[in-house]
Amino acid sequence: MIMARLCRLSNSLSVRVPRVWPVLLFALFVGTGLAVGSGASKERADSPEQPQFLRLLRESRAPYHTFATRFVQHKRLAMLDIVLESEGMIFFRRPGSVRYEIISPVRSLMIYDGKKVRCYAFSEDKWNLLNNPGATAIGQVLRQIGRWIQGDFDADRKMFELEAVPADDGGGTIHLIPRSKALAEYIQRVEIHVKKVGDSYRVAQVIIRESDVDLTDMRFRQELNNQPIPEGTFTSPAASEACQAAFPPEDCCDPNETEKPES
Amino acid sequence: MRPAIWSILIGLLVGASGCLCPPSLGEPVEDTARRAALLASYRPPQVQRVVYRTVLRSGGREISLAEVVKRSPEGGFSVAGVTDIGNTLYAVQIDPGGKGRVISKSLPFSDRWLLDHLVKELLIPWNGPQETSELYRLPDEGWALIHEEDRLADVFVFDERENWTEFRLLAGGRLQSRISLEWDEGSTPNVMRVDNRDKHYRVVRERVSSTP
Repeated sequence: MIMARLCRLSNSLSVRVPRVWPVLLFALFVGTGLAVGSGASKERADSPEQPQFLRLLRESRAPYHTFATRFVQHKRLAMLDIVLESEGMIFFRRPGSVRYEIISPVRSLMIYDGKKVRCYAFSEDKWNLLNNPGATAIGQVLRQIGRWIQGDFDADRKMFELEAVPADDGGGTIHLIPRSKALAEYIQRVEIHVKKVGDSYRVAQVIIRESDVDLTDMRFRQELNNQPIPEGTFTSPAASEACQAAFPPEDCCDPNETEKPES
Repeated sequence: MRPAIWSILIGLLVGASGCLCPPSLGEPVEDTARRAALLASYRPPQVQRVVYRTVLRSGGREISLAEVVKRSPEGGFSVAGVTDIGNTLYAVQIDPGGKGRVISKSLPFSDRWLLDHLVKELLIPWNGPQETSELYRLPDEGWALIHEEDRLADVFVFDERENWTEFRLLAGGRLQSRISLEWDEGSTPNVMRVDNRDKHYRVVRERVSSTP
């Protein structure tokens, strides 16, 4: 199982990538493009008798070859009795190119161009390429992200219990519960909140519960589907401004209005 | 001059120049007014919470994180390091007496490494020179207030304008770590650069925000 291998790989690094990385990335990227059918009170989405869940997800994402979304992330640290807020954006292009960028309050960037992952920190007024010890592991995670976005959870069934809990408004929540004690030490549960918008579904919020009191809350907005991706998005930190400009003003029209999904 | 001070001064010179040069600081300077002025120039940060953007370089590897320092009303600290995607890299509590406790960590370093080095260096702005520190004149101009205890020496370096610009920790006369401080209008440093020669890592911290 690739996730388990990633965790072992991370453990062997001299500066270890936290083992929640794969989970957080998982939640982030699944959270931007998940679709789910509603109607059941609580379904084991990973059980062999519920294959329609994965089928629906795969089918719903099939038309989209690119997407981008903004997000606001709140990190609640009970020990410090504070909430840290950050904002960022994510870009994805099939089969597996990814740009994950934090815009404020501190700028950082992780890009995967299909071959290599690069991590940057904006420090001392410039982008600095980091020799991140977790780059190899991150690269593997990013490759897997492509499969997740396409609705392929086959590799993760042994890692998580997946439950679908419908809501009255037509949306619902997906619960991802770690099966292993090792992973459960770092994360209790991931909640993916799905909102029904018209005839389609989109994920509005992802909550990662590290403990009873510590959590990371991500809220997504302005998802762009099959919209043009700025040059250098998956290769260069210099594309940051162009990527930010790809999102129209929030009080403007729906950027996906003219969207024509490719088959 | 006491032998221990000699070793400190040697360490200072090594720290300043990178080579082992003959010590030339001489005896502590008996300048009561200067010493009092330097002690008075230190102002403990009047902030409840500070966030730093941190880049840690160790053994050719680099990670970036945000570090948060929160002061408790009792005088202790809560300190946490959070990765860019929001998960907790470490969380530490320091009681008012200075005793630290690691709440959680997902770094491959020991609790002692975390408490005695990374977090201790982060909290340097809150730990100013002691009243018993002795005054020394530095060879490259500027002044130092030095306090020695149990073979450890805290060295606070001031420039000619009495600005605190650097902290050095010496162990047995050997330079263990060196922290340069850059100030703006805030009561905490705008930038802190750590060169920890003992544990072979470097850190650059840039203040992101502070809450009075």
